[in-house]
Amino acid sequence: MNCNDIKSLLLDYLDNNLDKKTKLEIEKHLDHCKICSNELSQIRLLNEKISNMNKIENPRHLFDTFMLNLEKEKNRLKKWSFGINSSSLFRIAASILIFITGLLTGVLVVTGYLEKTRIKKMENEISSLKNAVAITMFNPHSTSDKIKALTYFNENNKVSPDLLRSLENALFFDDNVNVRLAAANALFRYRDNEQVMELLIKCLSSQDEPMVQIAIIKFLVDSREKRAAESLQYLIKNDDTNIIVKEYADQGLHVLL
Amino acid sequence: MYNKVKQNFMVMKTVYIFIVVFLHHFASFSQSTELAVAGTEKVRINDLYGDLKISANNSESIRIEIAGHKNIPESISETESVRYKPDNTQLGINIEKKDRILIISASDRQSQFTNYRISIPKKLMIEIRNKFPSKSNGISFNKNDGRYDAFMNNINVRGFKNEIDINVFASDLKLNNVTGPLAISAFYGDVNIDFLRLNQDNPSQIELFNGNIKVNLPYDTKSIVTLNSESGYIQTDFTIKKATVMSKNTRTEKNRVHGVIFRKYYNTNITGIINKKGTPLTITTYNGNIKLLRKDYPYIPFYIYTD
Repeated sequence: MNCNDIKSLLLDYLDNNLDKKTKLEIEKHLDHCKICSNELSQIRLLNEKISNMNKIENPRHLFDTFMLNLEKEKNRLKKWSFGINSSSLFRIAASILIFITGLLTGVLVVTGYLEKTRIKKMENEISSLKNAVAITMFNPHSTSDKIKALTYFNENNKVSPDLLRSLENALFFDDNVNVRLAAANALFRYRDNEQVMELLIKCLSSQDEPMVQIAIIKFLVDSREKRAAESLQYLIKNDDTNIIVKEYADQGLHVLL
Repeated sequence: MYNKVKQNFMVMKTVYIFIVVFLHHFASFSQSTELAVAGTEKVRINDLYGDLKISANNSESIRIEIAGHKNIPESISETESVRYKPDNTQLGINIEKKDRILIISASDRQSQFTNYRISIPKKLMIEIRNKFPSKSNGISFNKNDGRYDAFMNNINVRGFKNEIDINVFASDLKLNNVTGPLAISAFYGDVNIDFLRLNQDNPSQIELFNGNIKVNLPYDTKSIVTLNSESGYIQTDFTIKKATVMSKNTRTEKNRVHGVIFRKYYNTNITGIINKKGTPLTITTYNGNIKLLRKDYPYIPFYIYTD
């Protein structure tokens, strides 16, 4: 043990709190270490001085005041607790808090759901309104207004009788070839719909716009629609068909048959 | 000495060429007419098969200049006189107004190889139509008897901020500084469009049977694009978000040119969003390539553009 270890144990050594072995070691060290011996003698001196000091009595009124305040505090707590101890109060408060939180969450979830349902309903209403506005309000001279109306119809991606009727009208009777093309392109999205395929086959033999004819031939041939063969043959035989459309129809017929 | 003579000769030759070009420029478009367009919404141009240059003006009138017009003999066949309207301008064209549309059409006295320069107020809609050859309308590719016919012409349109609707048989189309909306379809020819910006109110569509399409759009254009080229390639330096590519086996290439990434998709169709969701833009060519390129991209030195 070095001097620092010895110094930390000196108080215990004086109080006789150490085991024999440590005590012997300290005594052995104190025999040859003057610094530690001095330290020990100083501590002894201090102890003696403390033990020789006069005892000071506590003033009586201090104790009385403390007891009075303690009694007051006890009464105050009693007044608010209604006979329930503090830990029970805490538990009740926590339960109420959890209940309110749960209730609020429930209300929020329910109102959120209602909100979503309402938004969905509004979206549907807006979509039908857009369709109605698009059909009735567009400028009859504007090609892009008509195309926009067809695009709105396409937004829902559902084939309704209204949608089919409007696209059919545009495809068969609109005097603008670009509007007819847009109607054809809108119909091409419903490849799996039987009615749409029949409509396109019917259109092929009555269509007089070469660009639209080419677009429909390409779509029907890509879809491997064998029922289109008759319409293609009609186009090939018809004198009025554009020569390039005839060639395209002929190539398509070879693919189908 | 020889060199000096040669030099003088070259200078004289250059001056002579300039004079000829200058005189030709003014002499060639010498015939013209001007008319007011109050109450007009749209200008429709029908069956003008010569080269057509249409530019936008800020006035309230249309000016039509014509070059190379020769009055053809009056003895025209009965079918042709029924097919074409009478020449009411002495320029070989017919002009009439119908239901807020001003119609400029080929007349029964219009000759082949006539070129047109038409200046139209930029707020008006434009519609251009050329008849497709067929037996019933008597137009064929091979006819060459002095009357106009369906042959490849150039159509240049510049500076319009309203709808442009074109359906032609065989034309090279160049549209500059336009906003659309566009509705373009053609059988033959290349289409080159330089957008000032893309109109966000109505959709635009371009559809070709045979030919290449090049479209330049401002780099920050918002749009839902659909690009179809099943027998060619689609090249773009736009990042197409949420892209749906028709075929899973589509061959794609990715190149970096000056730090800009160009993607090439072969024989397919793609639908997706450029920048943010905006107005639909559909581009289709059955036999040809599509280039959809960014323009006005701010140049940042040493910056590597990535997606």
